[in-house]
Amino acid sequence: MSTVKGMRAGVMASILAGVALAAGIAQAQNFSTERPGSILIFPKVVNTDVNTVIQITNTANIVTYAHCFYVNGASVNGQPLWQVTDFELALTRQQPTHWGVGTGRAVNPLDATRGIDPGLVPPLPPGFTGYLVCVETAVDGGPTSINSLIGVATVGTINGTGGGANAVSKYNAVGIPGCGDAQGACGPTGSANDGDNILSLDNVEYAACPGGLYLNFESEGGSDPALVSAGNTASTVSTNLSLVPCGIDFENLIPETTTLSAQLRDEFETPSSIFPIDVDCYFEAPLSAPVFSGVFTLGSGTFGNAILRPVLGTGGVPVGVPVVGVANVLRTADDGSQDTAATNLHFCTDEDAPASCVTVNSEIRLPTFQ
Amino acid sequence: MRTDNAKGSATRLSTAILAASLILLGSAAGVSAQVSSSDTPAGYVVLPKVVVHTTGGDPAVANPGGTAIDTIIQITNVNQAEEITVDCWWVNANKHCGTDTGAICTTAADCSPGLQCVQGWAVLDFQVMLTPGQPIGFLASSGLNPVPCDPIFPGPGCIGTAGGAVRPVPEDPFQGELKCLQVDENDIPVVQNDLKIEATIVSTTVGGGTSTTAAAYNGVGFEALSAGTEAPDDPICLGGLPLGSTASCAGTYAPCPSVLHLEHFFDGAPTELGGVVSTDLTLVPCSENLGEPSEQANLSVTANMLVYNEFEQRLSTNTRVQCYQATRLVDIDTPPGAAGDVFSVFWFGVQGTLTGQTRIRGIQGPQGELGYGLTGVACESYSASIGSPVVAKTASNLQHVGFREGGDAVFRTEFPAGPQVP
Repeated sequence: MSTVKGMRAGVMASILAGVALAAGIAQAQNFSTERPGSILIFPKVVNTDVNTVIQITNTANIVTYAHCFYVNGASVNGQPLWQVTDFELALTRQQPTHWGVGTGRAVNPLDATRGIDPGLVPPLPPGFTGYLVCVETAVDGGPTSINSLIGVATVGTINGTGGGANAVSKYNAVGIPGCGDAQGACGPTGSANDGDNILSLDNVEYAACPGGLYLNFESEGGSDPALVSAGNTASTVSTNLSLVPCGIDFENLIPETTTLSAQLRDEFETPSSIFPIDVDCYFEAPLSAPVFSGVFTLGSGTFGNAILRPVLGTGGVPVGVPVVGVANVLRTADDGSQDTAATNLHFCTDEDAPASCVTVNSEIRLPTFQ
Repeated sequence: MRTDNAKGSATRLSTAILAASLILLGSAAGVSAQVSSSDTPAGYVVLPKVVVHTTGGDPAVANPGGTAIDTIIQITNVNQAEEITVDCWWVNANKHCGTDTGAICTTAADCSPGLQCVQGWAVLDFQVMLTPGQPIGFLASSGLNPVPCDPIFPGPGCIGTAGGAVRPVPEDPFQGELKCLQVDENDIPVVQNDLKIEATIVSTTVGGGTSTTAAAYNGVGFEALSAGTEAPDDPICLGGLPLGSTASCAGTYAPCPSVLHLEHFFDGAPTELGGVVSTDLTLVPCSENLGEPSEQANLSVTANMLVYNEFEQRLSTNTRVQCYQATRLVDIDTPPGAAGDVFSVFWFGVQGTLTGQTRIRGIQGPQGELGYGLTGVACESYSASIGSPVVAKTASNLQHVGFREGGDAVFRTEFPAGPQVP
């Protein structure tokens, strides 16, 4: 990016940050699933036997823009597809928008999807399994730190009571705030957005990656106490985990890889662990998957907690980047009826052992073809 | 690519402009490093929506064929090195016919002639001790007694000593909240943030039938920021003392948000997932008088709602929140029931778009010992068509914007000495 363009973007961001402060907007801190941010990550987007509806809202009183990237994380012959499709959005002040990923959203004021079309959103092909990233930008496409985007995703399908599956779950997008300045979201280390294509997740330009995630779970494959108590016995619970590396290279289209470990405890303090959990571009699997070696099927107790974090190297330093993610829990009753419930995973920021969730600096690289 | 010149000059210039902007704009909004959140552990955590109605209730759910509902609650001590003590309160928002001992009702039509359906706020407390890193889970209807790793309930891996008991909800059916506070062995709030709590609301047809639904959300956490007095009569403060309060803080926690932000489908909207959707919104005040629930009844928070559709058009409405309010969006501004739905600002036909956003703000009222912050959770119900049975549900945490400068206060009960028996 040129000096002039970068400066212009920085000035714009600063002015907008001031406006945002006046409106009480710039209160985001670190990664958040409930505070507006300048980067949104939707860790689970699918167009398979179920569909996904994406909702994004501009919470500021000024127009804003976003550059979005679908990443198809499906594996083909064990290799991540890493198919990236990008598009741009323009949102007027306080404008909410939505689309179903299977149909996308055309720019057509006469079609059935009413509202101000935010831009051409392409439909995703059947079988898509991956994630969505949206980066807030200025009108010239340069990234900004306005922190005005929030998003939610709804995943599922409804077929009614006449047969067919019914299951819907909802989660909030992970928001990464731009730091803005030393009094902004990242604290005294924060600085203005330099407007270039490298989004530094370092608590200077954007918030740094939290060192880990907490995953609460019910014993994989076990019965659900609520269903059992209602006499709808022989129920089962299964948790599906979706993880995205905290660092993405859209410029060189190199899939980010990282290796995780999981430290578990059940209700009786029984410890266990599993590693390596390799995340190559994208990870999605039920807790019954072979990679977990059955550790999420508890021998005693029904409930458990796990810390997911990068494998530690010499001196307790993480070898790879952490991840962000969402858990989607499928409950199936004896009568075959079922539903899913998604939860945002809590961030682990306890850097001391044994949690060892060490904050990691990373980056998201945007393409420079524009 | 990044260039040093571009970065340096832009940073200096923008910093200067930003500083000038802040000076010009003043600090009305201010900047807070800590704010309430549902994705990080905290010292004080609120579950705004807990519902129970089982076959053991009064009235009981029909067996078989009725729809039973219960809430699975998971509480975790994320501190991997130390045991923690947690004080919790069930806040019972049930209505009763005539008095608190009368039958549970929804409207006066559920009561005998001459009796009103009266809102009653009752509180039931319990205390648990969790070992390092220990997760526990339980049904709200049954509680958990004893807690795993209690000396009378040892397990194969127990090293630490858990204790206490989780009392079940005081009534069945039940609707209300769960609030939990991390304390020391003397019930004094501690400046530690080791609690995380999740809730999953599960409904199913008793004995099997046609429908099972599940909806999960995270507890809203308020990070402990600083210690205060050790007097049990003093409240814990969310952000600070409420405007006009003369009390002292028994601990200061992260403030309530200034604005709650709900991204939602408008009610009745056909979605790309199939079927139609309706949203229930549960709002609770951030301020609470757990020691004198009758005082809580005197606190009424007016929630102002700005509703935007996808055309950027804005409508507004408001509602009053007294202790606990759970309602369909379309019943906020129209009478309960389906008849008035199509006149609501939350009806998709009125808005003309399928989705929208609603900004919710608690309006400052008379100054006193309690504040006017709000928190809550949204639940969606999906059915094949309008009026047909619900076949799936979701829950999601409301998003937060800003923080309240006027603080909120939570007055606690003193916990009884000795063992607690559910």
